[in-house]
Amino acid sequence: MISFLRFLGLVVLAAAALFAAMRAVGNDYVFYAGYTVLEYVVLACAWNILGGYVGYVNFGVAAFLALGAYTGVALGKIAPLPLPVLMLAGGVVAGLVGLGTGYLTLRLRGIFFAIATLALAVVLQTVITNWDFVGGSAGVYAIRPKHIPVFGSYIEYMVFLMLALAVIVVAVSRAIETSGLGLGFVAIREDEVAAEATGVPTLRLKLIATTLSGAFMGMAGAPLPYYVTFLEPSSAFNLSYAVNSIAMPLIGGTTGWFGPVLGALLLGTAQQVVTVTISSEVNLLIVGLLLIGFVVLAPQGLIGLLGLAGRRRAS
Amino acid sequence: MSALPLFRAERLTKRFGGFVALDSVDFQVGAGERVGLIGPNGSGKTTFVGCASGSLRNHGGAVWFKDRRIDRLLPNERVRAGLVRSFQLPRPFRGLTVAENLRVPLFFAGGRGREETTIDEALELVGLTARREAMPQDLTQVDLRKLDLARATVARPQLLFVDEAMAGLSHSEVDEILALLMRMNEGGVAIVMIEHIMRAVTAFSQRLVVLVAGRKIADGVPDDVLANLEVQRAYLGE
Repeated sequence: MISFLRFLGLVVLAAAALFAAMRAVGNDYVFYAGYTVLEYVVLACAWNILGGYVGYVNFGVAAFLALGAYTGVALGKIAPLPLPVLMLAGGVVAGLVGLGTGYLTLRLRGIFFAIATLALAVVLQTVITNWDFVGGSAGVYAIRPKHIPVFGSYIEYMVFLMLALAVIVVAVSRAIETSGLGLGFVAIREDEVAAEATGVPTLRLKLIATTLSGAFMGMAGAPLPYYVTFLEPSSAFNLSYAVNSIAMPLIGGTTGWFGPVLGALLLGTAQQVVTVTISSEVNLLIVGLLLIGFVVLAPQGLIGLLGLAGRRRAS
Repeated sequence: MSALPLFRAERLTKRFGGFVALDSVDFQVGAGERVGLIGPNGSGKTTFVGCASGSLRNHGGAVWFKDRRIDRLLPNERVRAGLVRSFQLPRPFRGLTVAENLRVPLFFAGGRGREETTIDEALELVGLTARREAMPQDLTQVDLRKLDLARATVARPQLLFVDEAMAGLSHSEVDEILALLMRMNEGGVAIVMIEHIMRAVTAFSQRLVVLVAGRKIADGVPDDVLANLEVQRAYLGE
């Protein structure tokens, strides 16, 4: 418990330092770019809870992200709610969908599970495209509130919230790793049949993972309409969300929280730089090349390369 | 039948498509008993273990453990009830050390509040204390079997199905595992041994059950069962 609180303190400190540094630059663009990177820190960690710890590959990242975004849009149409509330609501909806998806698909293993999650994204996109209340295929405008107390601008406020969410996801990931839950996850990943035979309640644990993973993705998606200000299905359900969220943990290393964080920070930042200096199309090419390189040459990711992988902490 | 048997399968039936792998098999195990389950390849022994432990679903019949019907329970629920299996091929969690492998059942199978010492005791029992921090990939075949059995022990079974724990082992290694299973049995664990090594089965078993083509053809004291003509035909041919 004490070591967890110390860890949480350090993460909060790092986040605060990052936020202060971004403010010090005094340029809104830093916040725009930083938001995307932080969004990917959350998505990569969330993906890793199911994909890295339990070993179930989710290709439907965009579906959960878009669920959060469109929950925000739908609620915003009914009543003007503050962003944190929308994030919570997006998390609940995406978490429930995660639970349901888990229940329907977790008897599928390996590639079949991955295909089912991809199908979920296609089905949800079709639903949203045909749902006029949230803009349908034409898309929807999200108007940012003009004034936001304390923070200098709305984008600064959004970065703050995303940073807070990233801290929470990292803390939860670390807590999972050091707990019995994490041990059960590892057992499932290593050998699901043996895990069952050793008393691990595999179905329940997998449902916890799909729910948590989906919920965090949904929370990360809720501010998206206000970030892009104009949201339409083909961008909300963009496959690149899934590609990036899978590539980042794989490049960083999937066995612990640090891998996806490192992967998201490095790859996310590189993509922002490349988008500005070369072109927005090249950044996906870079992801693809890096992904192939790491899968072939360093399957343990950067963490493995740096010799940080270690084994599970014996708590 | 005076007391309730520990384990009871009644008319257990399992089909794979049109193939009947188990055909109305009745099977009982008493508390603390040592039973040998034998039969030619493909006779349904492992399928039986699968249906008993929950990794396979039976199509007919019922499985009882103590006073509880368990054939619709999940595998992990059966483990908690006290019915544990080991695998034909060792299935360690390869990313975890020997001790961490045992921490999985310690956390999930045996009830709360048990200490790390349970792990040490299990390692002591199987003789893997020195390999505590080793990774499974660095263990020998016989040590992997021991790890499997240690993991089963930590789950605190009342009944253990041991599925060919000795296949491929040398003469002396077979004796080691045999002695280990005897020790576990002395601790009060009923054991059903599935095995092709007849020397081991006859030395171990108080009772033998023979499956042939999914049907039980004999059940009794080892000498009687081995003298049974039908059993000899199944093993040796006409």
